[in-house]
Amino acid sequence: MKKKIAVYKVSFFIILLVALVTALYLGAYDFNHSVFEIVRTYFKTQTHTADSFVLIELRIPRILMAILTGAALSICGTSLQGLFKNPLASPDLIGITSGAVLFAALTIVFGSSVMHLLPPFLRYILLSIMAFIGALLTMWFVYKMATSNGKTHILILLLSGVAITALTGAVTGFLTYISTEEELRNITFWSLGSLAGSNWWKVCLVFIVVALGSIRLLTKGKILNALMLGEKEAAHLGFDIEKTKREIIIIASLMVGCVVAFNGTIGFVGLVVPYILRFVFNSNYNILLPLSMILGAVVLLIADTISRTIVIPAELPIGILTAIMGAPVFISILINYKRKLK
Amino acid sequence: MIQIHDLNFKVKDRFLLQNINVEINKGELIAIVGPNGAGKSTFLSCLANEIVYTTKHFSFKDKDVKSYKKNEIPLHRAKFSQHQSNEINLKNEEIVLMGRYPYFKTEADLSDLEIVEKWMTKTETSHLTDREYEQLSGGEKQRLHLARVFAQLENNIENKLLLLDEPLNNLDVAHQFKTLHLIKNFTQNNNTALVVLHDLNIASQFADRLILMNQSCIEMFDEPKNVLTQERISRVYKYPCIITPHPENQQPIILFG
Amino acid sequence: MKKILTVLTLALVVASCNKKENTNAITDGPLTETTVIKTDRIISLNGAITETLAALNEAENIVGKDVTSTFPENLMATDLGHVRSITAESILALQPSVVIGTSKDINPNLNDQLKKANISLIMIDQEYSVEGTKNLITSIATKLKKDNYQPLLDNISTKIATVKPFDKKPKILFIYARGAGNLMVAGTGTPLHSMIELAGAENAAAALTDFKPLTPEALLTTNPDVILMFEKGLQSIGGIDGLLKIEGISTTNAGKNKKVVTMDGQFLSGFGPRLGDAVVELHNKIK
Repeated sequence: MKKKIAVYKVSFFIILLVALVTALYLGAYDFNHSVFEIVRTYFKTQTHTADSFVLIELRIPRILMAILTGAALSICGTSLQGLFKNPLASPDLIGITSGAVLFAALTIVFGSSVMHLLPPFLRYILLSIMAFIGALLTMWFVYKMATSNGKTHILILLLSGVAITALTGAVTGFLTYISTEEELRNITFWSLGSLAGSNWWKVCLVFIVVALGSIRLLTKGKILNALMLGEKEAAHLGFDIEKTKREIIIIASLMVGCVVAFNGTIGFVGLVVPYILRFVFNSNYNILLPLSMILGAVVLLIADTISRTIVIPAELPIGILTAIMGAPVFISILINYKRKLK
Repeated sequence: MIQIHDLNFKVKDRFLLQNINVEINKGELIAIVGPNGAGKSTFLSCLANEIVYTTKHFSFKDKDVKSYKKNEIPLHRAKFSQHQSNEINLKNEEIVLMGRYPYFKTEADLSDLEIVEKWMTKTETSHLTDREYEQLSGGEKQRLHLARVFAQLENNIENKLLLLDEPLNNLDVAHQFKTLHLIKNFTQNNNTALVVLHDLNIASQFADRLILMNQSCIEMFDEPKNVLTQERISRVYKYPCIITPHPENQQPIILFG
Repeated sequence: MKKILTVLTLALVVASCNKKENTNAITDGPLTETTVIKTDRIISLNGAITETLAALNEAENIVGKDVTSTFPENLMATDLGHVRSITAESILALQPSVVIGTSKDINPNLNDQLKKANISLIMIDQEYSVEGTKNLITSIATKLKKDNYQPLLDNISTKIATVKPFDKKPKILFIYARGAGNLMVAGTGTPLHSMIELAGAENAAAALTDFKPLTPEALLTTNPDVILMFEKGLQSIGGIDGLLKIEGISTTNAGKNKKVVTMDGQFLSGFGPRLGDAVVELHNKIK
């Protein structure tokens, strides 16, 4: 079993590296030199050429953002599924992605005067914090509605998600309709996502949040396993259940909020990646948590690379690609679910 | 080993446990019996710290029970609950391995895996490793969780406490007695077990002492031969019965009707 | 975990070296900041801007255009798509010497990225009026140091001066259509409103602001004499027959008289150098 896990870990890493190197070379812009040479020349001369600008200021941050976003959404999805004890609990389905989007949009529209005074990095931090608050409020609401006595009512969980997504979709749509604020982008950005605006500041911020959050979430494997026995039983094994639940809720809200504030809604990743892994590894969270990060990074990197190369010079919104990859998997989840109910 | 003085538990305005006083010694196998609704499971829940009760005094191994740390107490005390999850998407060995979670941080030791194997053998669940948990019968699931609970208490600490809430439900006769022997073995190593049982005869055969509960109070706490009298049992269970000594060991046998 | 750490180290190292001022470039040259705008490779992100550049004899230097740049028709430039979804990479791939666009339409992220690459940017505040169009032409011409722009401005003024006012102002309703399910009317604040007024007519939908969905009630209350549409728009709903099938149209004066005027979209509402010609044509078609 240990060997099996190691094999999967290594293969995913290799795929990630291959995808990364490939992504460096693919895009609307054709390099005149090899990637390696470009980087070396840049370090030597300390000035940008068009080649190095595209590679170092545009492509590499975007690739890193895709990796971090994919990893973050996957590990959050996995953790939420453990928390709610249901494989359908993912950030987009239960509505916290929408909550984050709503607050990010509100911040841009109503906080524009403040935002313009701040330097970029602080602006991004403010946006992330507001998105975090949005995600957290939604998360709290959904949790309170859908759980009682440690049991999750999956129907209420999903319906709360539907309700919130509908509400935030309407408000965000309205904001984009009335707002002249250029920063607000358009509704397509928020509902289908885009990594095109990635830069080093954003990547650094997202990295910090995702690294710290993941480190914490990776330790929750045993607790999430134990939760499958029931909350009381898990407590008998020495775990502080209430503290763990709070931690997962806050960390997931923080990570999802940050990632969504910069890239818009990217759906399906948090649902589909853990689901695929469950086929091989059951719901053993000790294994699912780390593997979902790597697989999520791979999936989103591939999706983003396709999105920016398939209709050059334009780009397909990345949400379309994750939906194409995710919808069939979602359908198979439902078919499986129905089979179990019989 | 356990001293409880005046424990009460109520929900809204109804008392589910009133004025509970017990003193339990090391190495005892104590059966908790009584009619439905008497408070047996509730009492066990209090002992396991699952619910919030009020009490004047509750010491566990001469220390106030609240002074034990959350991650310390699983090494001293384990509970087998009456209702187990129906669906656990893990391999069966992994479920039993959860009993060892208090003992390792990320990766299980070889010793942990050996303990898991040992207890799966003792509960006769080793052959289930390739089956899906959901497809196991009620009895098989039960034995799996028993293995887990026993594995949890496998350590060098003296005087441990095992709480079991109706561990024999769903088990066939052979497995019932095998389980009881496992529990008896446990207590003979100077550990204590409190077992909620429905079957008075089994309780009479195996327990060192009986707690007879009735309507949220302890009716009597003594050896089986003292507790199990015709008058008392008929009154508490509200049904006539006859008590007769066991042909081989003279322990009381209860025949209802 | 390890992956994250190695990536971070790489990221930090690269980022820390990035504090220097960037510079502008063509292929291997360093990206240097320049005050002189070279016009040998122009990217235009707006139809009116493209038309202006062509009128200033810069058509052959346009290497990239947006989807609205439909005139001149034979422009040999890469179509970069909608201005809102253009990426920095596709722009840089064309190695532009200058990018010209409208400040309202450009994506702020893209703007930042291009600024960082020290690409010469000219952002025009486009106003949908005669003055606004003249300013647009003047700004572009002066920034690119072209002197031959006055005739363009005169042409507009002259053409508009030939438009004689109507004795009775007809009521024009502009309908934007993308298939029969997607119908909007143009209220005040839209380029169509300005065009209708310049042509000497009255906007039937003047009670509304901006683009609003078309409703049968609005058709009844406004009762336009003429319906104005883009050519492509009318095509998308099945021509005049399709238009008449829409609820409420046949009850209007325009519907009863089958008075439907179509013009090319960019020509009608682009507010570029052909503004004068567009106003004249619209006026004549309405008569």
